Amino acid sequence: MDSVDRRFMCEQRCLSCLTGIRARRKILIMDNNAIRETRVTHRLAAALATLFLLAILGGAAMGFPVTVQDDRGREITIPRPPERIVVVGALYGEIVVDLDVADRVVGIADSPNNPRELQDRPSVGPAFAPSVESIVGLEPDVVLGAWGDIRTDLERAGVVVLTAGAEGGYIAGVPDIFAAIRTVGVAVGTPTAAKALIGGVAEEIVILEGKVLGRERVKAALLYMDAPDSPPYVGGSGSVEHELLLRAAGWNVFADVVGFPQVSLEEVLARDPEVIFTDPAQVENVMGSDRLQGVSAVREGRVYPIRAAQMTSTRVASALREIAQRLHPEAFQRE
Amino acid sequence: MKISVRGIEFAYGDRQALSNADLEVEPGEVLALLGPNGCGKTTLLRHIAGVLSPSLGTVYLDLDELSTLGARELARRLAVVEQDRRAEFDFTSQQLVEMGRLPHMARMARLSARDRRAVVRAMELTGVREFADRPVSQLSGGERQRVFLAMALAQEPDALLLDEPTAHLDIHHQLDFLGLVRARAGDGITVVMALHDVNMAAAFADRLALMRDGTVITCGSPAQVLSPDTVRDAFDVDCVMGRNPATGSVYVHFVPSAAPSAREGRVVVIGGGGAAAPLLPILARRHHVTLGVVAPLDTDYEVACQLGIPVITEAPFAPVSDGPLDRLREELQRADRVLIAPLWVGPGNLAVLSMVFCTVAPKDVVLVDSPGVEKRDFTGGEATRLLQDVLQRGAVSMTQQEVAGR
Amino acid sequence: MRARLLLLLLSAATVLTLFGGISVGPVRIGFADAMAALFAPQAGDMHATIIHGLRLPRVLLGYLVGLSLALSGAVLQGVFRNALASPYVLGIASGASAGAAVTIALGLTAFIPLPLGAFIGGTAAVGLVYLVARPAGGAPDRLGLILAGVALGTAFAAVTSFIMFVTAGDRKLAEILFWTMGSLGRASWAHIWTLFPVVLISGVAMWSMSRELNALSLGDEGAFSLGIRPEKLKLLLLLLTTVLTATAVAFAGTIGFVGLITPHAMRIVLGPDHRRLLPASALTGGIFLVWADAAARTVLRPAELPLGILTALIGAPFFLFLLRRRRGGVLQ
Repeated sequence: MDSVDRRFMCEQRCLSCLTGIRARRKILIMDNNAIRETRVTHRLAAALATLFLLAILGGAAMGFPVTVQDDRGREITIPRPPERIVVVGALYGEIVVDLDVADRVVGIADSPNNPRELQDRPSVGPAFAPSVESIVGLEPDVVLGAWGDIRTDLERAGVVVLTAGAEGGYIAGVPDIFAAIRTVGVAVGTPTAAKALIGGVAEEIVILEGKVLGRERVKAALLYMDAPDSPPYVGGSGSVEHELLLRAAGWNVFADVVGFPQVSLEEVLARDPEVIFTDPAQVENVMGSDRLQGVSAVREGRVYPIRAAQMTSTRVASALREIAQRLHPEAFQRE
Repeated sequence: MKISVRGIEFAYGDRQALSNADLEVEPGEVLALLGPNGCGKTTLLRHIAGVLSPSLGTVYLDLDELSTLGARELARRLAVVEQDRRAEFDFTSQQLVEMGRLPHMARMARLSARDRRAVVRAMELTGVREFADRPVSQLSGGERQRVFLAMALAQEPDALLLDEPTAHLDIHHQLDFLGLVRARAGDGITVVMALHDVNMAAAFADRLALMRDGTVITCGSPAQVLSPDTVRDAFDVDCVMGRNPATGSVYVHFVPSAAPSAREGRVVVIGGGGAAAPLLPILARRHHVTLGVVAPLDTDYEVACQLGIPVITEAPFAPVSDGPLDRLREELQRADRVLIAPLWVGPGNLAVLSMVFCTVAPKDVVLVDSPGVEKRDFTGGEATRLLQDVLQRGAVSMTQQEVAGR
Repeated sequence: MRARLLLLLLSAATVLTLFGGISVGPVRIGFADAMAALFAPQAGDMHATIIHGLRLPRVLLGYLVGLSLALSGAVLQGVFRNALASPYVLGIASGASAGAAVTIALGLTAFIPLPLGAFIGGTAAVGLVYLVARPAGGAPDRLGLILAGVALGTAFAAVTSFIMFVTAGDRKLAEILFWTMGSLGRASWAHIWTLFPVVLISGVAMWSMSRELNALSLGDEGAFSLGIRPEKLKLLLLLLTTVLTATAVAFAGTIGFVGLITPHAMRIVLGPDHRRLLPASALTGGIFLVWADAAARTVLRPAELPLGILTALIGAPFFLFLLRRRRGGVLQ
């Protein structure tokens, strides 16, 4: 069935729930022509009834007001479908675009990773420190992605703020990305689209995992070096990066640390990853590091770029693909 | 106000600064504290000012124990002027003098009429009104000290304490300043000041207190206190007492002293009538000197006595008799050199000269300022001839300056 | 009188500044609209929310913080007899930063409001400095206090750096960094109701001791001879300035140069009499900081420049200018 039919079936079910009329169903199943004719008439009636209901309820047909849980575990109530949305953070920008509500975005915080479609929107300041006043000045119905003091000030000014994921809006793993998509979807009134988006991403991830399932895990590490031979920051457990490495049949040599601590070069040498992922601009730093020449990954030239923004994103499946391809190139040779 | 210091003991750490210091200052009198550095003058003053507390002993202001008085009460009775006080920030003279009213004013009060009068009077007395609005950094040292004196006077104190207030002032301002202080004492203010200049103290103070090693060793009028012995005791320096011809006050002439072991040789000086007086101190430093033959009224005699030089004396106005002459001969025989000062020679002491030239080899004779001898000759030319004769035979002629140099 | 005229001007400037500060911000609100929103706010009106909820507390906080820093700076310059002393000379800034860093790092912000953590850090630092600087039994001298302030200030700064290192790669690091750069962005009415009485009480108390402060410039013994107990006075003034500065820093982070430059400049204009210097410094400090914050909010709109950076940019060249002037000038 196409989407129009889907919606029609929805409406029918709602009407039958409310009004108890079941007769129309039977006619649908009978024959194609009959279906087409009846469809037109019944669609008109259904639409009028729905509008009537809308007028009475004063709410959206999608179940507004809705209540969602945010990253703090607090219940956030969205009274009606938001028409004016402010986005703080590239992830939420992507979600909004993917859920096809980009036209409702009235302001966005600056970030180099913002989706192209939203880059013409008015700026409310940098993503790490947006201007509360600018946001309030846009009279938003909901602000997505704000956290910390900014969120406190916005809420004090009466603005609805919605952020998902771990405490502080931190994305610790793929489920957090899904939670963000789901939460935003419910909040803007497109829960189905959200579910579909999640489903699509999850499907891609499962397929990729299947490709490398059972293969011997490759020792890998994610690290960032500002300059050659400077002690690197490494990705430990409790991060999306770590999870992706595991899903790609890899093994994070720094799984025992949490977060993104700075370690000595010796540690990298001692743990000897076979593959290293780093920021595209820092590949040379790793490859050109004298002291890391003893590391397998560097010696064999298996140092690959991966953008951090790609991993905390709705495009996380593509990030997983890149990682899996690097870790197990032989699994992808047929493509 | 009467100030009494009874038996004060005080130590800075383990250095005893004051031991059993006693002092009594009568109302309205000016007392000067004198003594070398480290004698405890400043420490004693700080005790009277209430800045320090003694470990033993008490300070009394009139009948009150100092330690029982609050800071404000004390500041109403006592004012202090230090040497070369500096204000960190650049107040005007007027503002500084007005600070002197602080002990009399309530917290946020404005200056009352009485306060203003006190300030004006203080400034007039010290002559600082003309630069009332000038910042203190633009004043000379003398002017600045006067401003601080005005500030102290604005406190309307019963007593004034000054710690070497003229230390960095040039002489004109020193006299000015001390004159002002002296005048205030005339109004009934008790003044205690520590001074380094003994003669200034003698000129401007009623009484002096000489200190050494934390004790007051003597106290009294300048004439009572100042003598070569007390000066040597306190300052470890030789001196000759005199009198300031202008003021009539006692005047101390300090003499740089040398250790006795630095003296070499025996020199007999023939002098009289003040001719040898300028030479004696210099010679006494370097040699063992004997003076002859002079009368007790003679200036040379006085100087010699003060320097501790043995003198062969004769009665005044009498011709030199045999007794002194014999003694002189003995000395001459033991002497290395004989120095003839440019004395006035008359019949009474001609014998002295002739005896000298008979006894002593000419090469050992030094004639001082011999060229002018004719003017000093009252023997009808006899003395001149003697001198010229001995010169020809090999005596040395020197000027006073040359003697001083050698 | 020149001083009276200046104080009058400053009072007028204060009023202008407060109104001006409210009209400035990343969202353009016309002056008329701003005044309307200020005096006749309508519930739910966006302008009213911005003016009342965001800008007004911010401007008031900025004024109070600037006032506190400048006033404390003036008093401390008198206590230390040094025209180059600042309110941070005893390590308040480093202590407050350490206090804030500890509060953020340990995740205590849910239990202890961040300003309280900073306040505790700041006052603890000064208390420690005072205790450390005492020679055996007795009050600490100026040199001892300053040296102890330097030493302990460095120690506290190390604590802050250590905490920043430990939280590296964490969002907490960004929070800590942002706090240390100084900002009025978190202003709220709660802050103002706390700061205002502190400012009022300590400000009036300090001003009432202006004459004694004047006398203190004659030296401890000089002040004593005028009936003042210098140690008691200094301790009391140190206490008042510490409370005032620590409170200001707790709410706004460390904002530099205001407490140093303002009293310095006022002393050049008005002379060293603290009866005029203290109120003039206070008012000027408040006015200056409000305008600096206004600039910080608009120069890179809609992003906000941290206030401490702006005051440093303005203050440092001015400070150098004052240093050069010293050699030939009025200061001793």
